[in-house]
Amino acid sequence: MKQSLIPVKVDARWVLLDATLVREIRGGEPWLPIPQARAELPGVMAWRGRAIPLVDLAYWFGRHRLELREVRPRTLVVAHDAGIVALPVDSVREVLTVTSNDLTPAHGSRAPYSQLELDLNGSLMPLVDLKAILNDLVESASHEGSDAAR
Amino acid sequence: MPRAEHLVATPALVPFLVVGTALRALAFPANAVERATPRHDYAGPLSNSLAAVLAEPEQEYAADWVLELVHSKEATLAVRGPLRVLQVLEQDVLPLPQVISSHGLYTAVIVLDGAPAVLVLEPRQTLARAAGSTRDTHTVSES
Repeated sequence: MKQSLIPVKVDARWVLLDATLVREIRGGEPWLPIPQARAELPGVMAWRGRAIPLVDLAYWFGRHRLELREVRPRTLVVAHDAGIVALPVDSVREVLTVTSNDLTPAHGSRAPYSQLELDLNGSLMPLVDLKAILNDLVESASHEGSDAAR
Repeated sequence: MPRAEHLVATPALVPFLVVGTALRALAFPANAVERATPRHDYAGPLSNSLAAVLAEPEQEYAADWVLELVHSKEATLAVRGPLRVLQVLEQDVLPLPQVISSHGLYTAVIVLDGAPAVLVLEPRQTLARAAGSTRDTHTVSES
């Protein structure tokens, strides 16, 4: 079975994401920080007449998290079950088409939300389960919402 | 017969009162603000500050204005200046996505020149937060 994966660089680390989730790749986009927001969801970006949350992948995969109004050179707009989010990243490469045989259990590229990795020219890249990350974010946000309503 | 330009709908403008703080711009819907009074002219109770809501206690003593919100005649909100009225197209006021956890403090974002620039505060929630975050209700008025 073939999969389309897109390599993205977050801080100094390359990871692979499911390319079918990506709706758009944009340049650096201004965003607005939300005071006291969670580090992994620091603010919002405007996209096609709506405000979409910004997810900082560096929270899991980098050392340098987004600072106030810092703009990374590329922005992925990603669709998932619960909506659209923006992922600011440092670099994006062309989409790779791989088979399940190309992916091996993660050993050398340990990363959160990753069980598989790809050996790309001798460099091990973790395949990150972006859906799981986004689902967890939505779930934790809904818990916070219900806590606040109490 | 009306000319063609008369048939084009005029986009709705929505007014906001923008409150400048050191690091960010925040706004209330203009219809939520009963009165804005310079602090030195204000004679009523001065109980809470927006700085406390934003956890910026170092600015607590630098309030320039007092806002009376329509939702509460009792509580007032001390804010730093400058204040300005901003009229924006309805389409440039974007509701915040639910996944952004602000516990209802912020409701929307205003887009200026294509970029999100101003956060819209929910007046009741702001007052509730201000009341809850300020233990000494006379702190601001005594400065």
